[in-house]
Amino acid sequence: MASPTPSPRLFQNLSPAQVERIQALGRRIGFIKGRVVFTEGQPVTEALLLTEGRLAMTVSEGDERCIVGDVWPGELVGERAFFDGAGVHQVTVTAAANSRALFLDRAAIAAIEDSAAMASIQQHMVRTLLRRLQGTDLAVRKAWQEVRAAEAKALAGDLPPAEERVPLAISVRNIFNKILGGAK
Amino acid sequence: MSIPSIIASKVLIERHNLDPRHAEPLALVFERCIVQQVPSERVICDEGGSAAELFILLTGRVGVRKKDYQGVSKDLAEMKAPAVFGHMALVGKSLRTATCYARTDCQIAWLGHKLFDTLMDEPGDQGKAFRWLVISSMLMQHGKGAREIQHLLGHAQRVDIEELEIAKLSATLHGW
Repeated sequence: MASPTPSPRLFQNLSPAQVERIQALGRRIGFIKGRVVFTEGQPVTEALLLTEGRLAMTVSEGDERCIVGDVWPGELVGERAFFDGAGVHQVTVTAAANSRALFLDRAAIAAIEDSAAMASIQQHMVRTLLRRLQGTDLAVRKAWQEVRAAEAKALAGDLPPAEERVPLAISVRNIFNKILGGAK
Repeated sequence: MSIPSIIASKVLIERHNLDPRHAEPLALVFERCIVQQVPSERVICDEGGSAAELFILLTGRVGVRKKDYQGVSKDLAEMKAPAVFGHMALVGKSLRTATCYARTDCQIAWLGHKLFDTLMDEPGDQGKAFRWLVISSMLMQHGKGAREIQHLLGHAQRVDIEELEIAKLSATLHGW
Protein backbone atom coordinates (compact mmCIF):
# COMPACT_ATOMS: atom_id res chain seq x y z
CA MET A 1 0.00 0.00 0.00
CA ALA A 2 1.04 3.60 -0.50
CA SER A 3 2.23 6.02 2.17
CA PRO A 4 4.72 4.06 4.26
CA THR A 5 5.24 7.07 6.56
CA PRO A 6 2.17 7.73 8.71
CA SER A 7 0.32 10.91 7.80
CA PRO A 8 3.21 12.89 6.33
CA ARG A 9 1.09 15.92 5.44
CA LEU A 10 -0.31 16.30 8.93
CA PHE A 11 3.02 15.87 10.60
CA GLN A 12 5.15 17.97 8.28
CA ASN A 13 5.32 20.93 10.68
CA LEU A 14 5.58 18.92 13.88
CA SER A 15 8.68 17.86 15.73
CA PRO A 16 9.44 14.11 16.00
CA ALA A 17 8.52 14.31 19.72
CA GLN A 18 5.11 15.84 18.90
CA VAL A 19 4.46 13.18 16.25
CA GLU A 20 5.39 10.45 18.71
CA ARG A 21 3.09 11.92 21.36
CA ILE A 22 0.09 12.07 19.02
CA GLN A 23 0.70 8.52 17.83
CA ALA A 24 0.95 7.34 21.45
CA LEU A 25 -2.41 8.98 22.27
CA GLY A 26 -4.28 7.25 19.43
CA ARG A 27 -5.59 3.76 18.79
CA ARG A 28 -4.40 2.10 15.56
CA ILE A 29 -6.95 0.12 13.54
CA GLY A 30 -6.79 -1.49 10.10
CA PHE A 31 -9.72 -1.85 7.69
CA ILE A 32 -10.14 -4.14 4.73
CA LYS A 33 -11.63 -2.64 1.57
CA GLY A 34 -15.39 -2.27 1.86
CA ARG A 35 -15.50 -2.11 5.67
CA VAL A 36 -17.74 0.63 7.09
CA VAL A 37 -15.78 2.92 9.42
CA PHE A 38 -18.47 5.41 10.45
CA THR A 39 -22.19 5.30 9.69
CA GLU A 40 -24.45 8.25 8.87
CA GLY A 41 -26.34 9.20 12.04
CA GLN A 42 -23.80 7.57 14.38
CA PRO A 43 -22.67 9.91 17.22
CA VAL A 44 -19.28 11.50 16.64
CA THR A 45 -17.01 10.38 19.49
CA GLU A 46 -13.63 10.05 17.78
CA ALA A 47 -11.62 11.66 15.02
CA LEU A 48 -9.78 9.41 12.61
CA LEU A 49 -6.41 10.13 11.07
CA LEU A 50 -5.91 8.02 7.95
CA THR A 51 -2.33 6.78 7.74
CA GLU A 52 -2.62 4.37 4.79
CA GLY A 53 -5.17 3.56 2.09
CA ARG A 54 -8.24 5.55 1.07
CA LEU A 55 -11.75 6.15 2.45
CA ALA A 56 -14.94 7.17 0.66
CA MET A 57 -17.68 9.39 2.10
CA THR A 58 -21.19 8.55 0.93
CA VAL A 59 -24.78 9.62 1.58
CA SER A 60 -27.79 7.42 1.06
CA GLU A 61 -31.35 7.87 -0.10
CA GLY A 62 -33.26 4.61 0.11
CA ASP A 63 -31.14 1.89 -1.44
CA GLU A 64 -29.01 4.32 -3.43
CA ARG A 65 -25.61 5.65 -2.33
CA CYS A 66 -23.61 8.56 -3.69
CA ILE A 67 -19.97 9.41 -3.01
CA VAL A 68 -19.69 12.99 -1.77
CA GLY A 69 -16.05 13.05 -0.72
CA ASP A 70 -12.86 11.05 -0.32
CA VAL A 71 -10.14 10.84 2.29
CA TRP A 72 -6.43 10.34 1.61
CA PRO A 73 -3.51 9.47 3.90
CA GLY A 74 -2.70 12.29 6.26
CA GLU A 75 -6.29 13.57 6.34
CA LEU A 76 -8.71 13.61 9.25
CA VAL A 77 -12.31 12.42 9.38
CA GLY A 78 -14.75 13.10 12.20
CA GLU A 79 -13.21 16.51 12.86
CA ARG A 80 -16.41 17.35 14.75
CA ALA A 81 -15.00 15.29 17.63
CA PHE A 82 -12.78 18.30 18.32
CA PHE A 83 -15.92 20.35 19.13
CA ASP A 84 -18.35 20.34 22.05
CA GLY A 85 -21.70 18.74 21.19
CA ALA A 86 -20.12 17.00 18.21
CA GLY A 87 -23.46 15.65 16.97
CA VAL A 88 -23.69 12.77 14.53
CA HIS A 89 -21.80 11.74 11.40
CA GLN A 90 -23.51 13.28 8.38
CA VAL A 91 -21.95 10.84 5.92
CA THR A 92 -21.05 7.16 5.93
CA VAL A 93 -17.30 6.52 5.70
CA THR A 94 -16.15 3.28 4.07
CA ALA A 95 -12.70 1.88 3.29
CA ALA A 96 -12.25 2.30 -0.48
CA ALA A 97 -8.97 0.36 -0.21
CA ASN A 98 -7.27 -1.63 2.54
CA SER A 99 -6.51 1.11 5.06
CA ARG A 100 -4.94 1.92 8.41
CA ALA A 101 -5.95 4.72 10.74
CA LEU A 102 -5.22 6.31 14.09
CA PHE A 103 -8.35 6.92 16.19
CA LEU A 104 -8.31 9.87 18.58
CA ASP A 105 -10.98 9.91 21.30
CA ARG A 106 -12.06 12.96 23.31
CA ALA A 107 -9.34 12.42 25.94
CA ALA A 108 -6.64 12.24 23.26
CA ILE A 109 -8.09 15.28 21.53
CA ALA A 110 -8.14 17.24 24.81
CA ALA A 111 -4.47 16.40 25.33
CA ILE A 112 -3.65 17.55 21.80
CA GLU A 113 -5.84 20.68 22.09
CA ASP A 114 -3.55 22.14 24.74
CA SER A 115 -0.34 21.19 22.97
CA ALA A 116 1.89 23.32 20.75
CA ALA A 117 0.99 20.98 17.89
CA MET A 118 -2.58 22.29 17.71
CA ALA A 119 -1.92 25.20 15.32
CA SER A 120 -0.37 22.82 12.78
CA ILE A 121 -3.25 20.39 13.12
CA GLN A 122 -5.82 23.18 12.66
CA GLN A 123 -4.03 24.47 9.55
CA HIS A 124 -4.01 20.96 8.17
CA MET A 125 -7.75 20.60 8.87
CA VAL A 126 -8.44 23.82 6.92
CA ARG A 127 -6.45 22.52 3.92
CA THR A 128 -8.19 19.13 4.06
CA LEU A 129 -11.65 20.70 4.23
CA LEU A 130 -10.84 23.07 1.38
CA ARG A 131 -9.84 20.14 -0.84
CA ARG A 132 -12.96 18.20 0.17
CA LEU A 133 -15.32 21.11 -0.50
CA GLN A 134 -13.68 22.00 -3.81
CA GLY A 135 -13.77 18.35 -4.95
CA THR A 136 -17.45 18.00 -4.19
CA ASP A 137 -18.22 21.37 -5.78
CA LEU A 138 -16.35 20.32 -8.92
CA ALA A 139 -18.43 17.13 -9.06
CA VAL A 140 -21.67 19.13 -8.66
CA ARG A 141 -20.77 21.50 -11.46
CA LYS A 142 -19.69 18.68 -13.79
CA ALA A 143 -22.94 16.85 -13.09
CA TRP A 144 -24.90 19.97 -13.90
CA GLN A 145 -22.94 20.51 -17.15
CA GLU A 146 -23.69 16.92 -18.16
CA VAL A 147 -27.39 17.34 -17.44
CA ARG A 148 -27.49 20.62 -19.39
CA ALA A 149 -25.72 19.04 -22.36
CA ALA A 150 -28.24 16.19 -22.32
CA GLU A 151 -31.12 18.66 -22.19
CA ALA A 152 -29.66 20.57 -25.16
CA LYS A 153 -29.43 17.33 -27.14
CA ALA A 154 -33.01 16.49 -26.20
CA LEU A 155 -34.19 19.89 -27.42
CA ALA A 156 -32.36 19.31 -30.69
CA GLY A 157 -34.18 15.99 -31.05
CA ASP A 158 -31.03 13.90 -30.65
CA LEU A 159 -32.21 12.15 -27.49
CA PRO A 160 -35.21 9.97 -26.56
CA PRO A 161 -38.18 11.42 -24.65
CA ALA A 162 -37.74 12.57 -21.07
CA GLU A 163 -39.00 9.33 -19.55
CA GLU A 164 -36.17 7.42 -21.24
CA ARG A 165 -33.39 9.83 -20.33
CA VAL A 166 -31.02 9.47 -17.38
CA PRO A 167 -32.57 11.26 -14.40
CA LEU A 168 -30.59 13.96 -12.67
CA ALA A 169 -30.03 11.96 -9.51
CA ILE A 170 -28.48 9.08 -11.48
CA SER A 171 -26.34 11.52 -13.43
CA VAL A 172 -25.18 13.22 -10.23
CA ARG A 173 -24.37 9.86 -8.67
CA ASN A 174 -22.48 8.67 -11.76
CA ILE A 175 -20.43 11.85 -11.96
CA PHE A 176 -19.66 11.90 -8.25
CA ASN A 177 -18.63 8.26 -8.26
CA LYS A 178 -16.44 8.86 -11.31
CA ILE A 179 -14.71 11.96 -9.95
CA LEU A 180 -14.50 11.26 -6.24
CA GLY A 181 -14.40 7.49 -6.34
CA GLY A 182 -11.66 7.23 -8.94
CA ALA A 183 -7.89 7.41 -8.69
CA LYS A 184 -6.46 10.71 -7.55
CA MET B 1 -14.35 45.59 23.95
CA SER B 2 -17.37 46.75 21.97
CA ILE B 3 -20.82 45.28 22.66
CA PRO B 4 -21.38 43.99 19.08
CA SER B 5 -18.03 42.12 19.18
CA ILE B 6 -18.89 40.47 22.49
CA ILE B 7 -22.41 39.50 21.37
CA ALA B 8 -21.25 38.23 17.97
CA SER B 9 -18.51 36.19 19.58
CA LYS B 10 -20.84 34.59 22.14
CA VAL B 11 -23.51 33.73 19.58
CA LEU B 12 -20.98 32.34 17.09
CA ILE B 13 -19.36 30.22 19.81
CA GLU B 14 -22.77 28.76 20.64
CA ARG B 15 -23.84 28.27 17.02
CA HIS B 16 -20.58 26.54 16.09
CA ASN B 17 -20.38 24.43 19.27
CA LEU B 18 -17.00 25.91 20.14
CA ASP B 19 -15.51 25.77 23.60
CA PRO B 20 -16.85 28.81 25.56
CA ARG B 21 -13.31 29.70 26.62
CA HIS B 22 -12.72 30.80 22.99
CA ALA B 23 -15.37 33.56 23.31
CA GLU B 24 -13.12 36.27 24.72
CA PRO B 25 -10.18 35.66 22.32
CA LEU B 26 -12.64 35.66 19.42
CA ALA B 27 -14.16 38.97 20.54
CA LEU B 28 -10.60 40.34 20.68
CA VAL B 29 -10.06 39.16 17.09
CA PHE B 30 -13.17 41.08 16.04
CA GLU B 31 -11.75 44.14 17.79
CA ARG B 32 -8.68 43.94 15.50
CA CYS B 33 -10.96 44.36 12.45
CA ILE B 34 -12.23 47.54 10.82
CA VAL B 35 -15.91 47.92 11.64
CA GLN B 36 -18.11 49.76 9.15
CA GLN B 37 -21.78 50.62 8.84
CA VAL B 38 -23.06 49.35 5.49
CA PRO B 39 -26.33 50.78 4.16
CA SER B 40 -29.04 48.55 2.75
CA GLU B 41 -28.45 47.41 -0.90
CA ARG B 42 -24.72 48.25 -0.83
CA VAL B 43 -22.56 45.53 -2.44
CA ILE B 44 -20.00 44.08 0.00
CA CYS B 45 -18.09 41.82 -2.40
CA ASP B 46 -18.47 41.11 -6.10
CA GLU B 47 -18.64 37.79 -7.93
CA GLY B 48 -15.38 37.38 -9.87
CA GLY B 49 -13.61 40.02 -7.81
CA SER B 50 -10.38 39.45 -5.91
CA ALA B 51 -10.63 38.50 -2.25
CA ALA B 52 -8.88 40.85 0.13
CA GLU B 53 -10.90 40.26 3.27
CA LEU B 54 -13.16 38.05 5.38
CA PHE B 55 -16.36 39.57 6.77
CA ILE B 56 -17.98 39.24 10.17
CA LEU B 57 -21.59 40.34 10.02
CA LEU B 58 -22.22 41.88 13.44
CA THR B 59 -25.74 43.22 12.86
CA GLY B 60 -28.26 43.07 9.99
CA ARG B 61 -28.82 40.71 7.07
CA VAL B 62 -26.76 40.00 3.93
CA GLY B 63 -28.03 38.52 0.66
CA VAL B 64 -26.01 36.28 -1.66
CA ARG B 65 -26.56 36.27 -5.42
CA LYS B 66 -24.81 34.63 -8.33
CA LYS B 67 -25.07 34.84 -12.11
CA ASP B 68 -26.49 31.82 -13.93
CA TYR B 69 -25.04 30.54 -17.19
CA GLN B 70 -27.09 33.12 -19.07
CA GLY B 71 -25.62 35.90 -16.95
CA VAL B 72 -28.79 36.56 -14.96
CA SER B 73 -28.25 37.23 -11.22
CA LYS B 74 -30.16 34.85 -8.94
CA ASP B 75 -30.63 35.16 -5.18
CA LEU B 76 -29.19 32.08 -3.47
CA ALA B 77 -29.17 32.70 0.25
CA GLU B 78 -29.53 35.13 3.09
CA MET B 79 -27.31 35.38 6.16
CA LYS B 80 -28.43 36.81 9.48
CA ALA B 81 -26.04 38.32 12.02
CA PRO B 82 -23.86 37.11 13.49
CA ALA B 83 -22.25 35.28 10.59
CA VAL B 84 -18.84 34.82 9.02
CA PHE B 85 -18.49 34.90 5.25
CA GLY B 86 -15.90 35.41 2.56
CA HIS B 87 -13.44 32.99 4.17
CA MET B 88 -13.36 30.43 1.35
CA ALA B 89 -11.80 32.81 -1.17
CA LEU B 90 -9.09 33.68 1.36
CA VAL B 91 -8.41 30.07 2.34
CA GLY B 92 -8.34 28.95 -1.31
CA LYS B 93 -6.70 32.16 -2.56
CA SER B 94 -9.37 32.32 -5.24
CA LEU B 95 -11.78 34.89 -6.68
CA ARG B 96 -15.20 35.61 -5.16
CA THR B 97 -17.75 33.12 -6.42
CA ALA B 98 -20.83 35.17 -5.56
CA THR B 99 -21.92 38.71 -4.86
CA CYS B 100 -22.86 39.61 -1.28
CA TYR B 101 -24.94 42.71 -0.56
CA ALA B 102 -26.59 44.31 2.45
CA ARG B 103 -30.28 43.44 2.64
CA THR B 104 -30.68 45.75 5.60
CA ASP B 105 -28.44 48.34 7.19
CA CYS B 106 -25.55 46.27 8.54
CA GLN B 107 -22.57 46.52 10.80
CA ILE B 108 -19.68 44.54 9.38
CA ALA B 109 -16.18 43.86 10.69
CA TRP B 110 -13.68 43.62 7.83
CA LEU B 111 -10.79 41.25 8.51
CA GLY B 112 -8.07 41.90 5.90
CA HIS B 113 -6.02 39.17 4.26
CA LYS B 114 -2.85 40.11 6.14
CA LEU B 115 -4.60 39.75 9.49
CA PHE B 116 -6.22 36.54 8.19
CA ASP B 117 -2.79 35.05 7.36
CA THR B 118 -1.44 36.20 10.73
CA LEU B 119 -4.32 34.58 12.60
CA MET B 120 -3.97 31.34 10.65
CA ASP B 121 -0.36 31.07 11.91
CA GLU B 122 -0.65 32.73 15.33
CA PRO B 123 0.00 30.20 18.14
CA GLY B 124 -1.89 32.13 20.86
CA ASP B 125 -5.51 31.95 22.01
CA GLN B 126 -6.84 34.40 19.40
CA GLY B 127 -5.33 32.44 16.52
CA LYS B 128 -6.61 29.15 17.92
CA ALA B 129 -10.17 30.48 18.45
CA PHE B 130 -10.25 32.04 14.98
CA ARG B 131 -9.04 28.85 13.27
CA TRP B 132 -11.72 26.82 15.07
CA LEU B 133 -14.34 29.25 13.77
CA VAL B 134 -13.07 28.86 10.18
CA ILE B 135 -12.89 25.04 10.49
CA SER B 136 -16.38 24.87 11.94
CA SER B 137 -17.77 27.05 9.14
CA MET B 138 -16.22 24.73 6.55
CA LEU B 139 -17.53 21.62 8.32
CA MET B 140 -21.02 23.13 8.33
CA GLN B 141 -20.72 23.83 4.59
CA HIS B 142 -19.75 20.22 3.92
CA GLY B 143 -22.54 18.85 6.09
CA LYS B 144 -25.15 21.09 4.47
CA GLY B 145 -23.83 20.19 1.00
CA ALA B 146 -24.09 16.47 1.78
CA ARG B 147 -27.71 16.93 2.93
CA GLU B 148 -28.59 18.85 -0.24
CA ILE B 149 -27.05 16.10 -2.40
CA GLN B 150 -29.07 13.59 -0.40
CA HIS B 151 -32.18 15.66 -1.14
CA LEU B 152 -31.41 15.56 -4.88
CA LEU B 153 -31.00 11.79 -4.71
CA GLY B 154 -34.43 11.62 -3.13
CA HIS B 155 -35.91 12.76 -6.44
CA ALA B 156 -34.45 9.89 -8.41
CA GLN B 157 -36.96 10.04 -11.23
CA ARG B 158 -36.60 13.72 -12.06
CA VAL B 159 -35.16 14.65 -15.43
CA ASP B 160 -36.13 18.31 -15.15
CA ILE B 161 -33.77 20.13 -12.85
CA GLU B 162 -33.71 23.75 -11.88
CA GLU B 163 -30.29 25.28 -12.35
CA LEU B 164 -30.98 27.25 -9.19
CA GLU B 165 -30.93 24.04 -7.13
CA ILE B 166 -27.47 23.14 -8.43
CA ALA B 167 -26.28 26.73 -8.03
CA LYS B 168 -27.42 26.73 -4.39
CA LEU B 169 -25.68 23.42 -3.75
CA SER B 170 -22.50 24.60 -5.42
CA ALA B 171 -22.62 27.86 -3.47
CA THR B 172 -23.06 25.96 -0.20
CA LEU B 173 -19.95 23.91 -0.93
CA HIS B 174 -17.83 26.63 -2.39
CA GLY B 175 -18.79 29.42 -0.05
CA TRP B 176 -18.38 32.95 -1.28
